[in-house]
Amino acid sequence: MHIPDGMLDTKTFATMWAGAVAGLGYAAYWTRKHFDSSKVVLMAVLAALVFALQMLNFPIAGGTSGHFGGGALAGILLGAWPGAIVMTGVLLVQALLFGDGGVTTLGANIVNMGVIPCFVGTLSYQLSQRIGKGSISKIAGAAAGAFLAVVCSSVAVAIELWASGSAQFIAALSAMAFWHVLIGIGEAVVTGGIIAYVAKARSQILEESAQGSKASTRSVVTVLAVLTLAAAGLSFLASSHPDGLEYVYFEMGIGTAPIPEETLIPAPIPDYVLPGVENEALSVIGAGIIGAIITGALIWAIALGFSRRKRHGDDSGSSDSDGADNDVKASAGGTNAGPAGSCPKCLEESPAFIDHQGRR
Amino acid sequence: MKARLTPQAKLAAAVILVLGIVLGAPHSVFTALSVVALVLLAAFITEAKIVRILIRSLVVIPLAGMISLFYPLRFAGEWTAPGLADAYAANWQPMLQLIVTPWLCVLVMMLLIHLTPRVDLLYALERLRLPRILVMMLSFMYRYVDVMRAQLHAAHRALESRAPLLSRRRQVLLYGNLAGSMLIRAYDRGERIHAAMLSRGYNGILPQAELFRLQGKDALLITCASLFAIALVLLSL
Repeated sequence: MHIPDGMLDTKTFATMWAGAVAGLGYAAYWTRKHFDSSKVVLMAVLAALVFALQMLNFPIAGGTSGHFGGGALAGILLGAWPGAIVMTGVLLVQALLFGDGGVTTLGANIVNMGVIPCFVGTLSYQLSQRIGKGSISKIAGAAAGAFLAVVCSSVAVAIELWASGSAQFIAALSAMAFWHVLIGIGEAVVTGGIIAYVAKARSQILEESAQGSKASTRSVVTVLAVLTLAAAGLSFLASSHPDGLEYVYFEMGIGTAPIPEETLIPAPIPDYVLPGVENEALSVIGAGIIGAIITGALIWAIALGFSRRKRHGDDSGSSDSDGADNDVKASAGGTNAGPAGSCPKCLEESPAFIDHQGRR
Repeated sequence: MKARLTPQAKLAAAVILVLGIVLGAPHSVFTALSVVALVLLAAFITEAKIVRILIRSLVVIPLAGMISLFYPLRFAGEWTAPGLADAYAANWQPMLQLIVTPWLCVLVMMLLIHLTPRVDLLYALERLRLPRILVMMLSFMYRYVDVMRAQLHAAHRALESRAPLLSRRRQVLLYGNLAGSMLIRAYDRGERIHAAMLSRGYNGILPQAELFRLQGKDALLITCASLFAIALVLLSL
């Protein structure tokens, strides 16, 4: 899914860079504010782990194989913002040290494979936590989050390729979505398996992550708003493009078209195949379905985010920011077995750890 | 040559060249060949392994080729056999360009990667004011990825030897447990590393060393790269 250089035109990669830099800037600020140094070290180690786990290949259709991505997992374990930083680290190494993914398209890749999967994974996991408290709901939430994260990322890639004029929208979308639904299943199995194992072997890791990610609910709403604005900006920029016509058609409800004699390539997604409907009509329906799903998901998520904040505020009887700070302190305390920033305590313990370090 | 140019200058020059290639999107055979010639010349001067760079740069071709196949569909009004054939026949040049441009960019990046040790590239990113948290993450990845890969291999081998008769599908289901145990080990490792770092005086900032200083040669390299990039953009107008 790494977009190489030259696939996105200037307006698209510049927009995506702006989005990525703004998102990362806020993520760095959030992490500095909420994480102590032990959590930052943990982030760095997890980045190395995600990179190593990307070696896990699983078979998909036709003798091809996909590999584990890890975006949703990073978001679930660390929270959406720190997760996005971890994935950015992974993507930077891939782009600059291995030549995988472009330099100009790095901003787009950060948004597609860093920000989007972390937020989708975190949201899905948090929603599942609201529905049930058992380990089954954790596993289901994580697996669903991983699946949706992969599919949403692939849709984002298709939209960016279309906005740059590198590909026809429906063709790119169907091809990307088809393969990534299959890859998403593998991702869901591995992520669900990891969460199942961790819930069984050391459940406090998940409890800490749940407490830590509570603090990011407000920022989840913020980033959704920013992403919506960025997407609106992108579609505005793209509207001068010939393919922007399809959007105009969609907006104005024009969709009746002459029936072609024969269709050579049927659309791989069965829901989009309406026999005897011409290309633009397909676009209208496709755009309609995707638009409806995205808008519905956004509204639902924002509504849930707000209702959750309100309830949380009522329970603790404190203001929003106070509640968030308490959550983070609780999580940091859990990791370190001490209050946040307890350096003297760690220093006292350090000789024992040096022994460990030496033996490693 | 390797040791004389500073890594941040090399990285900057490579990024400028890539930007020039993307913005210029070589339209003619001449401009595309000039980029290839430049890379080959640089590889020749620096005694880099040209064949290896060329082979590794081909990695991008399948993906770029797949995306370029979608390009003419925009111009096929109706998706009928003759309509599609016409669209593909009329658009072979932009399709080829969609493959050649990414390849040229990867070629430049591969040259950079081959000529610069990874530690130096990390150092260059640090000097180019990448956020501190990202630099720290990259240095940790550099330090621990191989360790974790070795662990993953060992765990994978253990899984295969203990459950040799399991089908591939059942093994995939066990991958989650394998990765989960790696995750718990990573958490423990993170705590140990942090404690060790604190004992050595870590206060949230990794120590920096100034290994390289920008010199006249670096300025010359960046200027040449900029001029070449500008020429590429101007030629495409």
